[in-house]
Amino acid sequence: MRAAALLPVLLFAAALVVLPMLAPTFGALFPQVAEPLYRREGFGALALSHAGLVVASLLPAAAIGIGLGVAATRPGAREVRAVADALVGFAQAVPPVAVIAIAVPAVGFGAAPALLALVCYATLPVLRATAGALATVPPEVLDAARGAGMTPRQVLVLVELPLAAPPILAGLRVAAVLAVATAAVGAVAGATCLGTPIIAGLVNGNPAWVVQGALLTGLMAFAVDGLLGALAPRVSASPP
Amino acid sequence: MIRFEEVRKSFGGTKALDGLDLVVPEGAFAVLLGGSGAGKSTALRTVNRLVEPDAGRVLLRGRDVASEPAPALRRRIGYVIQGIGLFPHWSVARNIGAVPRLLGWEERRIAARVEELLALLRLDPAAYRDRMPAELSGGQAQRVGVARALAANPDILLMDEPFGALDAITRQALQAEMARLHAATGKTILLVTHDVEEALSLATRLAVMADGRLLQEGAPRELLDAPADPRVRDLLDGGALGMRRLALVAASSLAALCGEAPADLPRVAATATGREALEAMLAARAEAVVLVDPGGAPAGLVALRDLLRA
Repeated sequence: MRAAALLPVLLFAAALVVLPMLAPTFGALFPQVAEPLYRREGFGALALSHAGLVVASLLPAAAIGIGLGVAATRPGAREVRAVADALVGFAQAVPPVAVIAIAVPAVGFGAAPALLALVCYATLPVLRATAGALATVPPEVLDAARGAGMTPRQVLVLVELPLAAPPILAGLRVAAVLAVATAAVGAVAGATCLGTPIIAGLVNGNPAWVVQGALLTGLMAFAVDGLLGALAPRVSASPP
Repeated sequence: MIRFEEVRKSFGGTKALDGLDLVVPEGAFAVLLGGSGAGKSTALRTVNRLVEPDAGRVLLRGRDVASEPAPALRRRIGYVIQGIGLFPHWSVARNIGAVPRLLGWEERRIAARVEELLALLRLDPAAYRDRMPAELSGGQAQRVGVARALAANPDILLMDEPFGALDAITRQALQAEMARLHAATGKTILLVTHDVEEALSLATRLAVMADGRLLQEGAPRELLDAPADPRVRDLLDGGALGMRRLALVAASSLAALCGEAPADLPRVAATATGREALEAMLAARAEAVVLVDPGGAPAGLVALRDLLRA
């Protein structure tokens, strides 16, 4: 089970190693291009910087998503819930490229607009999973927790969050996969990542580079999904 | 002692409590009886401040419950609910140790207390300590629920329809268990129920509520013999007034001494109620029953006509 989940990770690692050796293959596949292999940066360096973008956006996304999800489910927090719902709806309606386009004049080119878009997108699944999971904690368990003399904070930390942890972790996993895929779009604003060969390929009319960037981005998304899937049961606190 | 003084509480437009006055004496097993919507659960929840009254106050041993922070108050009060509400991600031992842990007891003291309570509730510590709530039957889970409520040795125990979700046999076993625990610990218990049989079998003090008010309070026998309100009579009668009265009387109090007990008469334990004695007579088609002490020696004779004195 766990070995099977790690298969995409191995596949991604293998692709990073093997792809630079495949210049002749890409040359045969795309005979019209002069430079069939993307060599401006190494694929390893691109992947690392891509992963950096993902991690740097997931941390604030997790903090904001879980924080808003918790705030929205507190008693008497109808306004917070309304704001969170509106936020979710709005952010879902705007495509990542648009967020980046809007962000560039505000924060300039490079990693910053990409990070902004990623945080916006990754927050949503976490927020939705957190609010949903907290709403499923049985009311009699909450009644018993309060009746036992837990403070609201203790109810949250000792009872609600542990019981809601599996769905929240699933939400984080969705957010991570989404972030890996969306980070590639960051290359539009000049962020260095696995999207860079795609953009360079599109600009220079080099489909081989597009394929290489897209292939690695896709495999990285699978790898992250598999990795977090393998980790999830170990972190979960709930009984089988 | 718990004292309700003119307690009022409305939810939206409905009055759940409409000026409740009630005193629960120290050491009583008090039962709040009433139909649904009578306000009995709301009344119970004002004691540990899960419900804050709109007006009036609740005193615990002479002290207003609103005078200290709710979490500190609740740690001194045991609380058992119909839904049981065990923490599903914690083992039985961790559940029972919840309040002691909140109070900052040492781990060793908590572990010893958990063992003691499991034994008190007749659950083998070795077998149950490490189980998860999902691995317990309903009756076992509520035993753990009661153990959890008793863990920090609270002054009083609040029980909100604690056996309502259990099957009849388990319910009777746990009722007997609660009567035993009350006798053994002498704790003040306030239990809410809509089940007349349960109320009569457990209560040392019975309070009947309707429409957010107290209709009558007293010893169960007083309420059966002299209901102060037609609603009390309707609730307690239920077509079984005579049998209910018999159930409250010890058979031994109706017995005549007998030197030699006829061998053909049925026998019941000397601790039996009048109702159990009658049941034994009806079952054996006999006109009398012999009470026997735990050693098996005859302790008295109850004849059918003796039951009329109940």
